[in-house]
Amino acid sequence: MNNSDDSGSIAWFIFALGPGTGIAIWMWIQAKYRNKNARYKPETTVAHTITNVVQEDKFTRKIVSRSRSITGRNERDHHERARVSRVVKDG
Amino acid sequence: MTAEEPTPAPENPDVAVGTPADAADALDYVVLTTPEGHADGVVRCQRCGATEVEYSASKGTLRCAFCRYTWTEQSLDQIMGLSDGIADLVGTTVSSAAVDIEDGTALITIKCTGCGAEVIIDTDHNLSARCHWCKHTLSINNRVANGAVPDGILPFSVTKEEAMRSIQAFVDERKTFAHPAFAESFKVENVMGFYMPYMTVDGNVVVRLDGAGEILRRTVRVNDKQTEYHADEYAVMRELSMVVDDLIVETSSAKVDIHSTASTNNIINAVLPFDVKNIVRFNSNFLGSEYTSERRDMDVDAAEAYAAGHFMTLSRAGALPTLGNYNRGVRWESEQVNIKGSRWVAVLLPVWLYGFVETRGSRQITHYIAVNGRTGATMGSVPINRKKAHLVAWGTAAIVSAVTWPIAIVLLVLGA
Repeated sequence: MNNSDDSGSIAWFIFALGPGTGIAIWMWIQAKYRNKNARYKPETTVAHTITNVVQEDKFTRKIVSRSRSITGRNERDHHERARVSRVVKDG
Repeated sequence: MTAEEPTPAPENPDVAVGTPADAADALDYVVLTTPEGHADGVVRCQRCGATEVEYSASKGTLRCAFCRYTWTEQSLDQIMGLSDGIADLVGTTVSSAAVDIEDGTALITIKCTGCGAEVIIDTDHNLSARCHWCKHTLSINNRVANGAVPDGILPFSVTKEEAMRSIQAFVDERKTFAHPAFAESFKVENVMGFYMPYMTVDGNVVVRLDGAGEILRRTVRVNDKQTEYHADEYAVMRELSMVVDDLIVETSSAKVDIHSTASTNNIINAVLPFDVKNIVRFNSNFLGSEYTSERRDMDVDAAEAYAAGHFMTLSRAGALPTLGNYNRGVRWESEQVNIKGSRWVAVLLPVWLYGFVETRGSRQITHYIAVNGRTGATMGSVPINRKKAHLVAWGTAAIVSAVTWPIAIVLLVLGA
């Protein structure tokens, strides 16, 4: 049974190689020619100083998940705004 | 573009429709007065009085064509103290030329101080013109109501020849799948030098981020195909104070949207940043006849939303080192930026631009190749020959599939 499952997975992977190659070539051409993701990255170029960092980490619950990481993980997507994003001015 | 009636020549453009202070008061701004620049009209060489002043990008100086006297303008950062006191900023401070636009009329009439003739300047594209009677060059150097004149300018230091070489090299690397109409019409000498409108922003902000983070405790393999991840979930909050020096924000509504589907504005955005510490007091001689300027049409209120987005980006990056424990990651759900104080200066920054309009069905897309006029940073969008790209991509897919699918079928049959 295990051997059958393994050979089935390998077969589907091999099936996907052809279409996957086509998709990869198309995406490479788009990336190289259009540069749609190119943009100003102020987080690496603008002089800024951070002070008074306040941290709060409160345990809420234990969870069991089937995915490798938290749903909606975005701590490295600095340019993508959170679900709720507000600007206030109280200066 | 419809013809416009010339604006009646004001006695003093600076007070034509109210002083900068008047405009600022109406909107709760504090005005940081920019030191006076050259007078409007004929700008003469400081030594011999001639009006033929040229800018040399290779040397970074203004030069009189008659007596060859050279000089540079003073750094705006030094004369206005723009690097000082950012942490103490409260409220919104704007420089003289960054106050709200009061009149969107592009055409401005000034009187030639050489012969008295009235000369019209189209400030959508330039800030100087030659008097058709006496041939003196007339320029606008001080604030006008339509926002065309900035406080400062960063002169080109990359020459047209250098920009042409960069653009040619960029295109040469992208010939195989370039759209045939682009390839046929590409003439690198058509690159143009533009001074684009921006504002530099100093910010004193506090940012709060709220979300959830997970820490993996153990992994349980349920069966060959499934794994369970047992983790602890936390409510995560980070609040930080941040002082930002010289963030750059576009102030042309046509260029600020980097997600536009009509033009590749992200390309112009991508050649940022500029060495804005070297911005000098505006002098229209830096434009000369070689460069074109674009007029600002966004005020601080509109630009502030984009600046706030950048403040949040900076804070998210700044908070990242504090999240090391969360090996399953963090999901930020809420972010709030409190702009306690900000300072805005209107500037023109130099970009070499090559444009090409691709027609795709009923849509037109403007592709740009841009070179930063100070650093030489180059980025571009080259339109794709889609037929050829599809043929190569899916042709290769077919060839690979022709080899791999029989193998996959055999494996499936044997496995069954």
